[in-house]
Amino acid sequence: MSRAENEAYWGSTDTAPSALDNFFDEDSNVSWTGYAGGYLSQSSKTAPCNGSGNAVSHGGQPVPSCTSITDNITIHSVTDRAVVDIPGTGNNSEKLSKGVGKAIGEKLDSWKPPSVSIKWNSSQGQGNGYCVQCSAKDNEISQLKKRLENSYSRYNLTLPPDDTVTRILLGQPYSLECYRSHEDKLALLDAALNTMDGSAILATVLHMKNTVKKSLFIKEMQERPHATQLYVTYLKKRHNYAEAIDFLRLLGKPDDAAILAYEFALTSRAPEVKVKNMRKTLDNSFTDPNLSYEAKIVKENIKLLERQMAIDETDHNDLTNPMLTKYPRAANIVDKSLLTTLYYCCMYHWDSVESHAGSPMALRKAHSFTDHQVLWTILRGRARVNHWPLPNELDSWLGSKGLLGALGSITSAFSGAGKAISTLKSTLPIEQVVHTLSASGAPANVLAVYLALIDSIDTRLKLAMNYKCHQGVIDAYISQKDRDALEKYMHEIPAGSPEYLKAENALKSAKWKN
Amino acid sequence: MSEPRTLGLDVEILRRLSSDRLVRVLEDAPGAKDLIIDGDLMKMLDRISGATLLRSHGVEKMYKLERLPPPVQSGQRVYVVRPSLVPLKYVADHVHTDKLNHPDVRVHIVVVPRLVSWVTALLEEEGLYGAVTLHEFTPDFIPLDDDLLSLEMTNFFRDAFLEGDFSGCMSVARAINTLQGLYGRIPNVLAHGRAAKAVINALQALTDRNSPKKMLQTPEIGHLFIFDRDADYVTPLLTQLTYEGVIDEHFGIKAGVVEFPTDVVGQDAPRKVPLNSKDTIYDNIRNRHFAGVSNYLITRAREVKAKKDQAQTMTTGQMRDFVANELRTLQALQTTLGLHLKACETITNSMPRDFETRLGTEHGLVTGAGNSGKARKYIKNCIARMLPLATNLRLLCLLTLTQDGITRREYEEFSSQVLMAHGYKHLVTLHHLRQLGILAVVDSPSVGGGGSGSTAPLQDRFAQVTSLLPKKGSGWRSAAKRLKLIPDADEPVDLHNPTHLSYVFNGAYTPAIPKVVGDALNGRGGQSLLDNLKVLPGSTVITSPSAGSPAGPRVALVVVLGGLTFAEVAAFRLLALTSATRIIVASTNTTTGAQLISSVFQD
Repeated sequence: MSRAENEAYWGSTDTAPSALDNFFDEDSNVSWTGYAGGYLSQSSKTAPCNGSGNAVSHGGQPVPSCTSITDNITIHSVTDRAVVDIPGTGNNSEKLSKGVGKAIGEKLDSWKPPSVSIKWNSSQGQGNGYCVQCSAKDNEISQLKKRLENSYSRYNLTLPPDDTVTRILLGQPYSLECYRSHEDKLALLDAALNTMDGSAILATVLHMKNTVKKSLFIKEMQERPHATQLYVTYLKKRHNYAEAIDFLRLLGKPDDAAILAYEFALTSRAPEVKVKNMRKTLDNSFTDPNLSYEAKIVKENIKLLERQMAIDETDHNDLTNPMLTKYPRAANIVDKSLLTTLYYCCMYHWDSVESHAGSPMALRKAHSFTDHQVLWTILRGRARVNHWPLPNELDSWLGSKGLLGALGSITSAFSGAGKAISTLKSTLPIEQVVHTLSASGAPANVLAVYLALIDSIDTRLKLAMNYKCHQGVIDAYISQKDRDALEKYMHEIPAGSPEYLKAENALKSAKWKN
Repeated sequence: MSEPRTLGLDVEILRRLSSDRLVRVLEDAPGAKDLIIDGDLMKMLDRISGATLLRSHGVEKMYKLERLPPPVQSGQRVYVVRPSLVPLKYVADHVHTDKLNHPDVRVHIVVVPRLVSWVTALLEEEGLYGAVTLHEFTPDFIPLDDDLLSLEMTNFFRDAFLEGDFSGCMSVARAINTLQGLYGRIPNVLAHGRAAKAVINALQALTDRNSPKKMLQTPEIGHLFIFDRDADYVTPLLTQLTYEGVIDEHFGIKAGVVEFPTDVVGQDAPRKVPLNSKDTIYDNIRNRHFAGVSNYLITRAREVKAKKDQAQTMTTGQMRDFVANELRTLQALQTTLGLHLKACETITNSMPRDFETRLGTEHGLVTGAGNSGKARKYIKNCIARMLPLATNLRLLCLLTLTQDGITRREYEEFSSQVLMAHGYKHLVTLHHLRQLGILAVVDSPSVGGGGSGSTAPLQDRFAQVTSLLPKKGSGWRSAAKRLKLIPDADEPVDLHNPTHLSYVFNGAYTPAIPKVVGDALNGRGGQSLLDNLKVLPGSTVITSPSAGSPAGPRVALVVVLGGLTFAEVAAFRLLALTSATRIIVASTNTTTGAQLISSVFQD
């Protein structure tokens, strides 16, 4: 027997008498006092009065003569620890004031259900003279007797819910066994909800869950969202997803249930299992029309995962793709995001035919990317393998997909370029593109092409200077017709370099304002 | 106790109290023992006590709690764990395993900060109830500085605001109760928010048990303010601009200690540097606007150098004096100055190219002066560029809050881009952010629902569910207006000699919690303040001193539940100066917007 158990025991018993007070208070019009007095004196005879200070906490203990089997073990350890003491301590005024109820409580505590009737009978049989209007009293007594018998159990002496909740709050031992009537359970739960304490709420929710049927539990939970929230979290933490999902669904929260089901499907490791679970989830949890967007996302996830598995299988031991040997794969692509996958495909499968699993174009067509997502990812992915596509090379990636897009890529050399550049300009912040390209080590001639797309010549010039892109600076000065500035800048350019020649050429031929 | 503390409150005493309490728990397992500690508690325990102290109380070996049990060497093992499933499962597995080979070993489990009901139930399920001895250790506030206390409860935000588990509030209440035990019951209380309410409830349960004598003690703290993090989500979402805030965002300050990476310290290994007012240089720059820090450091460095240069022309006697007294201090100063200059440089270099654009976007959104269409485009580009998830979500959340919620259609557009960039699995993250109200979406009646019969009641139920949650986000702009959080654009804010709390965000926004505390302290409280608080989620609890009892001195304790940013700490420090009040700021933990958002997707 551990100390904690012992405490739990004490904790539940020391509170019993005050509960009984309540019990009897309800029937205060009954003239109990006579009998009570009798018992009071009787019990004070049976219990030795030794003035122990322990009395407060152990006041409700059964007298040692108790014959309960279930209680026996506990009582054993109890008796050697504390002496039972009932009325004579006088160290607690509250106790004295409630002495009557208490004494009865104590007395009752030591009774067992079968013996209740006997004791009552025998006490009547002893023929004390207090009862005169016997038939009325007898009636009442027999009613109360029944009630007592029915309700009697050590555990159903209910402590006020607030007191129990405070005990949980303060980490003191408590027992919830005594809350058996549905009203009591609700009162307890609501007392816990009032404090807002997670520990208390969960304890009371679990008590209810374990003791009432599911439909009733759901009904009460429906009206208590905070309790629901804690209970779902609890189930989730215990990895009891199935029950949590079911619970949310019954509660009429299909969106929360669906998200949780999806979360659960993702907990499996193997991608094949994941796909299978997502499919199942889709059928079971995402049927609500309000979840059509979420269902679409899950479908996309399945589609992507399947493609990733295919890519991985192809690339796993592909010795023919030079990119895979030149830039060894850092990680498996399975389970990465869609843009990371596109990045990967741009790195390793830029030139693959569309029927290849890893073809970036095929991926682009399979999912609905936005233009800026595609452009940024291509720029970054290609830069990773030291290739910086010029704006017109990006044409086939823009605009409409499918046949038109494919046709566009064929004719891009003639007509598409203009469209591509304007789309590019309106889609991406070109300055940021220049920053990115430069940071990835793009050569000056590429930078110059992108710089030319910046509308503001001042910005263009500033960036070109910043990144030492001579070509860009020269172009900017030419469009500004600023001969002096260009002449000055010539000192910065290494003599004989293509840029130098170009600048020289421009100085001779172009039109200048100065 | 009755002795007047002329030097004001000594918060250092808290550390000793916590450490004493820890010792008492350890002594509950007398004799030699091995300690097995939950990794998440290490930092906190470190701040409370040292290894020496633990060893002097019988601790022989210390292990970090992992899946496999460490070797059994002494007759007792003490597990120190959070009330969290995974660590507890580990402990249970350990105990079962060890039982086979070492049936005699005694096991103690210390739950920090609180032994909650389901922990006991879990151990009972594992068949361990009674086989292990359970203890509880509730640390008090850990003083990170003279005016900054933390409980280092890093999970509080997720637990309370996402999962509705306010059980941590009991630990906060205990910590406040300890303060009240030391400094008397705080007469004026203003608490707002759900978690704040839970703290007040718990505090009530605790004070009911205190001896009435305690309550008669003359209060040394006059005001207690308790706020929830969700009273102001905009502050953590904005990029911090004070030096301390910037340091936290870039390197991370954990329990008052920063770990500078190698390129800052110029050594092979990163170095841990405690950041507090004991370092006079740091004390001078921590609350400054980042833009002014390096100038200040350079000026100071010049002064130090000039002083050292004077030594060149000194006589031998002066020189001796100089070496004996000043040289060491100057050299120490120089080292510190160098360190912070290097930190500034590293931060400046690592700032993104579009930092100005980003800042402009944020501030434009908050003041309402910016073009929100442009902001939307900027955010979409950030997402397409695959900036870190927390960075992208932070900006997206800021957009939705400041727009008083975005439409469902727009949410679908943004979220699908986020999911494409960062993985579909974050559908769950977005769902959580919406539950928190930090990602504000106005659910319009069924979009493309196909008009099926079941739609209407479902919408009702949705509405029912959302209406039960505190209304957040939907009215941010009116809340900001009522609380006057957006400073007048025509009034210039001096960033470098600040007089207005909004300096922490370039004068674009005043952090709400310091603003409300300031209003209350400066007598602008009363009914209008209470009315204004109604626009924030949660309810208000207010206590005033009973007639005749002292109102208490101008010392305020401000508790922020769910994480406090250093921008707010800086604002409180300025408020303390302008309102002539000593303000002690306490929190469950210090945080940044990135941490706040990441706590939602870490699982």
